[in-house]
Amino acid sequence: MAEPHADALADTLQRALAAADVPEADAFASRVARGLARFSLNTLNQHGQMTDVTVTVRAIARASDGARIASVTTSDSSVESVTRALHRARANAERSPVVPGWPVLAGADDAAPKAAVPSVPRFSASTARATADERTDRVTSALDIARANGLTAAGLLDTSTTAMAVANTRGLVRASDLTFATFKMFALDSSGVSGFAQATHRDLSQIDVATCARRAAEKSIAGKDAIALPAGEYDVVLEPQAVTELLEWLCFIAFGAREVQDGTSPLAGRIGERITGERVTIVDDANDPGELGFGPTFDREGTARKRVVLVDRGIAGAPVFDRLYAARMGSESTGHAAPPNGFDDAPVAQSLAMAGGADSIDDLVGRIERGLYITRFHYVNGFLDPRRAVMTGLTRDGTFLIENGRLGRGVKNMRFTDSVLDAFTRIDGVTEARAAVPTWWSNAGAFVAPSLLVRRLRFSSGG
Amino acid sequence: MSDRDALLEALDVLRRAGDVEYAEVRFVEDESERLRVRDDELENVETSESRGVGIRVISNGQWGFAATPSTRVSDVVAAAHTARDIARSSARAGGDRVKLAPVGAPARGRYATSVVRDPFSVPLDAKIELLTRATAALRARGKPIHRAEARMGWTRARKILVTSDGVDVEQKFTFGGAGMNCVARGGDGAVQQRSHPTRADGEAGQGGYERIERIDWIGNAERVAEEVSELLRAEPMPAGRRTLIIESSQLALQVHESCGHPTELDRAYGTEISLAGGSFLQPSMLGSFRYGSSIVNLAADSTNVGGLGTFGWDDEGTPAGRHPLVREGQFVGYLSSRETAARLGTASTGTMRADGFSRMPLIRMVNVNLEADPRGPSLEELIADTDDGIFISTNKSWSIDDLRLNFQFGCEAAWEIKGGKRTRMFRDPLYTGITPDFWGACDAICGPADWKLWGVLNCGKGEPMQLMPVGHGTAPARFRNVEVGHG
Repeated sequence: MAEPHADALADTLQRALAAADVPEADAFASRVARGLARFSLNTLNQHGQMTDVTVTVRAIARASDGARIASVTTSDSSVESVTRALHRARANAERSPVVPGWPVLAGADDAAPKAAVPSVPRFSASTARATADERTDRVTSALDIARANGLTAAGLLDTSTTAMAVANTRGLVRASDLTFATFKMFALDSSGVSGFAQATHRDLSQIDVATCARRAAEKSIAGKDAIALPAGEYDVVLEPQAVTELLEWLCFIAFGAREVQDGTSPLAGRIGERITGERVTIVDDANDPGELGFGPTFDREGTARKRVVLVDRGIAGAPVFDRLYAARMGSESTGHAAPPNGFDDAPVAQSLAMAGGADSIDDLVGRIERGLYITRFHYVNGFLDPRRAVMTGLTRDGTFLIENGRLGRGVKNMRFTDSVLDAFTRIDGVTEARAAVPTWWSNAGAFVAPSLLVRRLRFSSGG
Repeated sequence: MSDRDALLEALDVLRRAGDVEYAEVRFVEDESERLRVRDDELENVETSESRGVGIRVISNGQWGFAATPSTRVSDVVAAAHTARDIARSSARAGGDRVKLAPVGAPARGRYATSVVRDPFSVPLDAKIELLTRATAALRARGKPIHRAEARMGWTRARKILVTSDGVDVEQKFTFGGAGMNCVARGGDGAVQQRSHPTRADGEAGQGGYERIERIDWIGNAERVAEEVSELLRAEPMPAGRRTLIIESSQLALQVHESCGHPTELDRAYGTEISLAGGSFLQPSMLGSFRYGSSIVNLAADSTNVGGLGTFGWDDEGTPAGRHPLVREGQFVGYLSSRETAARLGTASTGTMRADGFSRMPLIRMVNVNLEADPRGPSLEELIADTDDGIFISTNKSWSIDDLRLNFQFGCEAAWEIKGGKRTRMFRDPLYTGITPDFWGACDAICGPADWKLWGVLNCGKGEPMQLMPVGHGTAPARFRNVEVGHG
């Protein structure tokens, strides 16, 4: 169980900044209390309650031609520990070379006045207060459905509460409490044919575990006696999970300012130009007040996260920026500084949403004469040729043949290798319904995607 | 009180609880430093430290886990109670009771990485100067070099493990890595990258700053800049079936994905389905399945000096050792834990590790190595022995299916081999295959002089994602009739 904690973290950061007396510094703190019930083989075999605390401070020592910067992270959120971290960062900064053009920190006045940020719901007591017994009960109901169908279940129920706070020497203070609940399940038959379903919401009580479990079981049963198909081009329906796996890689290779500056992004040199089909609009919007939004509304620098249109009906937009890359590239921070201690420290989109269309999932299936219905991909990689967003990956956990507009037999897993930009020019249907899908690197984040009909996706190996 | 006293107090509380069948209490403290220079600018100096305690318990036949960032006795004891309560709760979901393979005498002792020069005592200025010299050398030729980057990272960690079986061990690790890469841009907007020694992890392993000092930064920077410029002019690799010689760092990733992961016994049993997937190597295949050709020998070795998968004991207290996985092409062994080994009816091979204090231990690769052919050729001799083929180098893209059969790797560069000589360069090369077919087509492995122990710093597994340093020793090897092409 976890109560709101962000205001207490913000208070700690402010007191440490005052005590450390470092002329210019900022501090970011997060506290993640996670209840995780991971199951497999119809047994709840990894169930735990973990608390992770991270405080990262940055000290900036100004020079005539720029600034010297250093950061220090600690897992101890006491005022004394954060004060020591500030002193250490200051000492390291003074020994570092000057970085030209280092920007000023976000100020209290430019950190997005509250009125400018919609009041977006982010915290749910039902998630924050979930007990081990509640998780066990929900997982047990899913296991019962698997057992009743002669299947084996694997998956997880995650109930997390994240407190985030930022403070700096320009008087900025921001704090936010977020909750995140996700359930996902794989149902497997004795030959290993699997079906998958998931649901994600900030409010645990809104997650219908039984419906998810039944959907996973139905897919496993329907996928029995899967057939192998040869490599080639296939019209495909991609469920939101599969679409999100492509969007995740666009985050890494396309939507950050660093990749644009390096010239490796598909957006580089093409902003304002058509890069894909008209049915593609992708925004990063942490302030979406809808039920599907999850992300924090400010970044680790305290900058309010703005709505950024990355692709507008196929036209490339500008990337997301943090303060350093904004200064380097003559732009403004969009509030997308990367969380500390992640995979990288360059600006990153974290709340992607792809616009929906007007179709139903049956409409998409009905338009395919012969093709594939794909629940999700596995191990997508987008580093083959980032400029063209060439990606490869495999189907998994529910791939079906579509013939004459109807779903048919299961299909063995196949590998696609194709330019996602090119594939997105061949979109011929987008569902109105969208789903939230958790991103695998985030403590409290999910993307939002519709289902797509993509014509002639290239599969480089068959099943 | 010392850190160990808090652990022992929590363990005592759990021992006295009548329903606790097994308990382990693990303290982890780590400190790390990351430096990155882009062009001539140091982007940041990052240091981080964390400490805390993770507790894993079996009660009523099921596991429970709790972790706290506090090392105060009261907090650690509270976490112990939480772990026990969770185990009791989980038991209500039903399922098989956990059984652990027996261990010998409880482990007691100390392990520490052998360090010649403590990287944390090397002045910051010296590290920055080294990285800045590397990026300057990468940029020295001017266009088409567009961006140059050099990076370095170090970690030192201390772990104490006490268990209800009497294990009491303390281990200290020092490891790190460094590398560089550059981006070249052509007039048509085309972009190529080249790295040394690898794109992702660089020169990584356990040890001190002496690891970094052995790198010829300037000489390799000049070569990398020349090769990335040439890649802009190179043709894409033609599609077809070719004889392929794989350079050892790429082969390390091949071993990682197509041998290391499928020999994890938790994957084989299906307990990692919900993220990483399963394994085509099922227990019924042990001792009878032909994984590769008769010259292919693979082993898990947690005793290799300098390996990222080297330790004294794993996170269950099982001692380090060497365990064959594939012997003369036959599949013969798994990476295992006490729980999975009990199910298989064997002893644990000692591969349980957790990422920090707040995660549950999982089966992780240690150093999973392809053994050199004792009478194998040098790389130059192997190329000279190849009339028509491809030499491929340095990973940039990796993907494999959930059973670890269907793989595809993209690399930074390849060269055609004609008449025993490296000739023209190809850009954006990739190769693809099915694991046992591919290893079955291995007809030559270089000798011990070309064998190198590589490090992968961030192997991902588990939920929430756990990142683990692992090692892979490989020598370049040749494979026949491999499907190649370009991305």
